[in-house]
Amino acid sequence: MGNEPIENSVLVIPCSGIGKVHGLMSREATYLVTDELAPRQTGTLCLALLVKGDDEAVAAVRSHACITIDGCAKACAEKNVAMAGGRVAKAIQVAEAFKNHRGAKPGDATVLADDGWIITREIAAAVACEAARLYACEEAIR
Amino acid sequence: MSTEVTKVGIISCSGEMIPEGTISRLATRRVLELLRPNATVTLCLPLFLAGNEAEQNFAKTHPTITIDGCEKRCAKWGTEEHSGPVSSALVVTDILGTQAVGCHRSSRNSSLPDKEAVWEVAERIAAEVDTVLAETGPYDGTAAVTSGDQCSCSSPVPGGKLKIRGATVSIPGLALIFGQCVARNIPADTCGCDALLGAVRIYHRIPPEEEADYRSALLKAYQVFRSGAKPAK
Amino acid sequence: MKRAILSCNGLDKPEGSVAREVAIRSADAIGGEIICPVLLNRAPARYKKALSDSSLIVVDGCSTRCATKLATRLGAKVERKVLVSDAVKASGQALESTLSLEPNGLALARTIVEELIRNLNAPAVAVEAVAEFETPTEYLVVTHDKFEFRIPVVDYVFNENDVWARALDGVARVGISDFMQQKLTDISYFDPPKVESVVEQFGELGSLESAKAVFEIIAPVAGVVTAVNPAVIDNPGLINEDPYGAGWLVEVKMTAFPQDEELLLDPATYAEIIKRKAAEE
Repeated sequence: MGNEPIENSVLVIPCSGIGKVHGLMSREATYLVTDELAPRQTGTLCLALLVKGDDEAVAAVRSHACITIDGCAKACAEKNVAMAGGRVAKAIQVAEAFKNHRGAKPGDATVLADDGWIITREIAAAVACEAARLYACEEAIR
Repeated sequence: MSTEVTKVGIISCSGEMIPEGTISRLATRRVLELLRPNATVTLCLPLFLAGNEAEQNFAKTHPTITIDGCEKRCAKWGTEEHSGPVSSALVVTDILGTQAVGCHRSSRNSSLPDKEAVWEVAERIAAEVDTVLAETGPYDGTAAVTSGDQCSCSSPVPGGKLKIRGATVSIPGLALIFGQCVARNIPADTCGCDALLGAVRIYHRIPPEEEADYRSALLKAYQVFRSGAKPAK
Repeated sequence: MKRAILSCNGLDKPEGSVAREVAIRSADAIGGEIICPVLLNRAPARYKKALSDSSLIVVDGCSTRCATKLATRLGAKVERKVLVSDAVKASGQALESTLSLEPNGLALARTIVEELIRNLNAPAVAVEAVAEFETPTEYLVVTHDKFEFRIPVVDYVFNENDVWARALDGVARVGISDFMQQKLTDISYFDPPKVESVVEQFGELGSLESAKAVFEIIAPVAGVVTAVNPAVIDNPGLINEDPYGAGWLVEVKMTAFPQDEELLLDPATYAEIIKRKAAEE
């Protein structure tokens, strides 16, 4: 299942940080959005490909609205998309979502626990809403 | 680079667009947590590319292995760009070929083929770690198997050394060999000794006069390994 | 009353030159003993009598406050503090950019001394103690694999539970070490102690929560909690960003510091402990 960016789709780009559970949550939230919640309106692309300067990836972020999902305040996805000239319409940080989940045990960087999935789904729902809104705006402009 | 290297940095691509990216990531975690916990450090590619000095400095002073999901080789490119040549560059599509077809990007959809793909790539990475360490310095990565040595996920630390007639013998990749023996359902008792010895003999010379010592040492180490390893299907 | 005057060394700034001039003129005006900061740092015994018999006036050139820190570290009783950079702002007159004293610098020094003498004989106004802590600039770095853990080399002491304390004018500012903030990863909650609560050394000073763990903050000093960092309540991520500066947690008015300090670790000793902890993980 490839989610190549389609015309006017919103790009959801996670940081996928491998060292912390937050990175895994950013990745899984992205897949929930692109594969389940808003498959028609969203796509994703590889952050590293973008940083590498891949022509297609750079063109994609410059011509689509982007929602970045970062694990933490280092904001690797947001920064790299912006540096590539992309339009970051919304920047989400997974670490912020924990403020509404005291005592949660989310799992680790390899596998999410139940709490981790609950928080991930919340993030995905918020991203899907925002993506739908952005998509509708883009459609209206067309 | 240090002449007494005991750790290898592993950089996995992030590969959000394809299942091979997820396989690359999970295989790296498996090597870090289970197969070579004392011999590896994983470096976060997004942080690396964003200019994190600690990640980049480690890659400049230690050997690195990159594992990419596809031929675009973003992890290899990023490491060479920011820190220098890599010791080994693996690509999941090269390792698995068509085996990755039908695998999934998200762990929500993970099934046995996804797991097997991860295991295979992880073992390949682990073998590369052993090769790189053998080439760059004394392989002191893992101690003999003891119940006291555990990684953060409580799995046993795979052994690379045995005591043979009072001397410490290093067998690089011993955990990998044990993993293969588990997969082949070799029992951890005297009935399995011949097969165990045969498996090790492929990778390590066993002098005939020491065969009996190797039998008992290998059996003990294999029993400890199996006590914490996943049961074979 | 006998007085002694300690000024900062300030060789690299015009404010330092003014501070030195203030110290010399004040000593002439009030008959006080000038204390050399370099000698005091190197051989404090040389000034033991002066510090115990005299009331100390401290003159700093800039907000680094080297002289104040030195005096505090040595437990000197400070009667008055002068900060030249504040006086510059109050005067509205910029100093010349040379290190030798020019007309503006000389005029400012005279003004500062006049005001100092005027105030010396007036009763000191009790003011709310405001802890003026600056972010550290020098660190020891402990490296383990790809991780680097920083430890400030000056003014910070630690307990074995990875909590630091920094003392100034009888108040200790408390926070967690860089090692601990990295171990916890992204901190999402800070449960502070109550202001005005009493804490024993090694008692509890609240807790921190991250996705990985809940961490109880073990008090490095005994005393009364006088302040909680409001910035960290709103944004616990500050603790990860700047654990030794803006990410401080609590201030404690100390009740037993010289004794408490005996059970705390200096930066070099704490560095050894971190090496051991990192290797064990």
